Amino acid sequence: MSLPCREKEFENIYRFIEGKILDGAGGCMYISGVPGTGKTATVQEVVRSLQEAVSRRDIPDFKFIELNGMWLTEPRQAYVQLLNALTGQTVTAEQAQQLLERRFSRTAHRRITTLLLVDELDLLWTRRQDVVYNLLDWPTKAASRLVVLTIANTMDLPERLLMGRVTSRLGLTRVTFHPYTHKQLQEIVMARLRGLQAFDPDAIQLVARKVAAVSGDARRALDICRRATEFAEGDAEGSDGTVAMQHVDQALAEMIASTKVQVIRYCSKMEQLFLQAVASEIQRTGVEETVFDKVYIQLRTLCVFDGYAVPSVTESLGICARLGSCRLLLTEHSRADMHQRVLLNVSSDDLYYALKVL
Amino acid sequence: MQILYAHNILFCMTFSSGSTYQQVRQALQSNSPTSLPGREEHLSRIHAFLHDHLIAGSSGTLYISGPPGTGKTACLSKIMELPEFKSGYKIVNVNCTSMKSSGSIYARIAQELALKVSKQTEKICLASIERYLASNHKMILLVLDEIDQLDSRKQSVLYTVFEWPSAPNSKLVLIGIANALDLTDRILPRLQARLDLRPELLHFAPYTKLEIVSILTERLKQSGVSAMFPSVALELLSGKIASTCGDVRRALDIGRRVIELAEVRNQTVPLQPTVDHASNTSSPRKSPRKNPDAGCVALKEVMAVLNSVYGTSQSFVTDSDESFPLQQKVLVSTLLLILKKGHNKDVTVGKLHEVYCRICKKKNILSVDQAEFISLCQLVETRGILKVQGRKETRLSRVCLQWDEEEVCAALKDKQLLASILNDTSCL
Repeated sequence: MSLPCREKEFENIYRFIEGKILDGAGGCMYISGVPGTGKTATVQEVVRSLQEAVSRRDIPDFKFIELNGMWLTEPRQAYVQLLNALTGQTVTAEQAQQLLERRFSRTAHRRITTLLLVDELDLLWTRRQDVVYNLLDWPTKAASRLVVLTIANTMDLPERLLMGRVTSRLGLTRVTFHPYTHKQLQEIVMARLRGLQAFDPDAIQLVARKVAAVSGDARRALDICRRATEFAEGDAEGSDGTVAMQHVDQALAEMIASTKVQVIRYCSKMEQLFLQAVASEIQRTGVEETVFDKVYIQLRTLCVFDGYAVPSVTESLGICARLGSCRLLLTEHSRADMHQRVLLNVSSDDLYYALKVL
Repeated sequence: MQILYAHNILFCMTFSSGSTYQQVRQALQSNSPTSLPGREEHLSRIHAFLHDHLIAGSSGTLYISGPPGTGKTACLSKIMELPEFKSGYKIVNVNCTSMKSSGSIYARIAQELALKVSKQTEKICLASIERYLASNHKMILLVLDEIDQLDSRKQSVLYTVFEWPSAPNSKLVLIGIANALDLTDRILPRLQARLDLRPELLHFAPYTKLEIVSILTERLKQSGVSAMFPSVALELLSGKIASTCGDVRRALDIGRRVIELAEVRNQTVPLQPTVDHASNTSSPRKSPRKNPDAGCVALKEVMAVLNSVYGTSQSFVTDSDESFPLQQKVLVSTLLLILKKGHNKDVTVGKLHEVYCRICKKKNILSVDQAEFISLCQLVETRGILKVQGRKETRLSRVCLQWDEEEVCAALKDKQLLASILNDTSCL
């Protein structure tokens, strides 16, 4: 199996769907978990295994339909997509809804189970919640033979976002995918690299630990490893070609390095002074929000101290607007002129760090 | 030919004859039941209401309220199945969640009544329905499920619908179904002004423990598998449900999951998705049938399911302790520190990040930068621990803690780290 560390979840989902198909019943399941924990991949794998079982004649045939909230321009398009997948018709959302309603309430003897996967369920949310309601109401009809798997990131989405009557229909069959631990991440990377001696095991462990400490996102871990491999490729001439600790370090440093610090370092002298003026004004008042004219007074003092020509108000407003447009500052609309409010959009620690090195 | 035949036999054996577990699971499906224990009174009231109006040929309104999963729609659809009403009434049954907007209900009703309309607009449909009601027509039974979906700004749609029964010459019985107990009083106060418009009310209370027990036993008895579920287990399950919500869908759901758990326990062969099943005709699913006593549900399985459902919201505590990433732990602890020890309880993402950086520096942990920190906040948010409000300027958006401290402590499973962060006010 290509999905290490998800055996338990796999079995859970597999048993659920298999049971429903064998019973000829309908049902819903809610799958949650943060990005990059293998939710969609596991479900796809389950479906593939089930299809294999069908081809071996172990279980009756079923039809698999996939919907993703991201594919839809509007939540009600879900009906159109579903109907299209079932019958090949293309109609408006309203008609599609009626046709589906009729289809699922009517008993048909030769109907096979329909397995519907709804990815990114939270995007189907509307104020009246009619789309989610209908998708979850059809499985409760005896004749529908519809199994709905819903996927979203939020663990408590049913309680937080959905109305009581929708939650009641969603039921309690839930599977949560937890972030990977460093051991699991290590295993995943190792599984991908099976048969290759290209990676230093300690380097993999470092990546796994770093990623597990922040998000436990497998995609991220693989990304870092890929980047490290690219670095190793760059200086493959000298060494034996394996990816070692220093390459991983390099990749991690690149990921972690703050772009904002870089941007501040490449700012012009006056812009840097302006940022410094904002920071010292914030320090002076103790409030995060300041007004441009106060900052200008600070700027004047700073310029005099450092021996620069004091910029005019118009020039300073220009500087302020430039810094605002690259989002180092948050500024009010420039209509307010001298009295526009100014806010720092970087932490002051980052700012001092960036300015100190100069 | 021979092979095909063998395949067919295998096919039939595997699919048509289910195991005991399968029968129980089918018995506990949450689709409309054939009988409704504990709802006899409601059934007879609805029956009497419809019967009286049918005999008298008069109009009337009934509003049915009750929390989800208390059998409102089931009761009504059972009564509508009766031949007496099927022939006596022209039944129009609409679930209002299927409407695009509240106004499109008219078009739907006109379509169900088979009225000819020149255009599908709201006005024309409404006019033709009203013309139909004024003419000589058969008794109409209009059932509007989830009627609160017809909510509009001035409630014009709801008022229009509720006024139909009192229109001259109309023979229309209106039944509205929704969750709210006081929908007609709260959003339709003008109905109270006229006596003939005032709807009759019928409330479905949440199921009591005894009712849930009788529903479950009835269903199990019908499929002849009542031995699978000991009465103690049923009582425990029903008592828990009745004390929280009285939602029978939920009770059936939990019952199904208990059965699944028991089935897994009795299956000795672990599931291997890639193993070839084709050779072994005696699938593990069937083995418990030989000794049915061994397969019945144990009390501890009911407890396990109930705990996973009604335990605290952080079900991930049960899993391995490392499933909560370190940086996220620090983030949550930082938030707690600011809320407990700080002067300003209004925490923004920017402020949280600054304190977080200081704590990281002190603890010798590599801190993440602001952009990463924001995505970290969102990851914690998906667990429901905190909430980031006001998305426009991420640095200024507010962070609110959603759980209380004890829950957070239990979730972090790292008292040492939390305590050391909380005791250090110098980072603020």
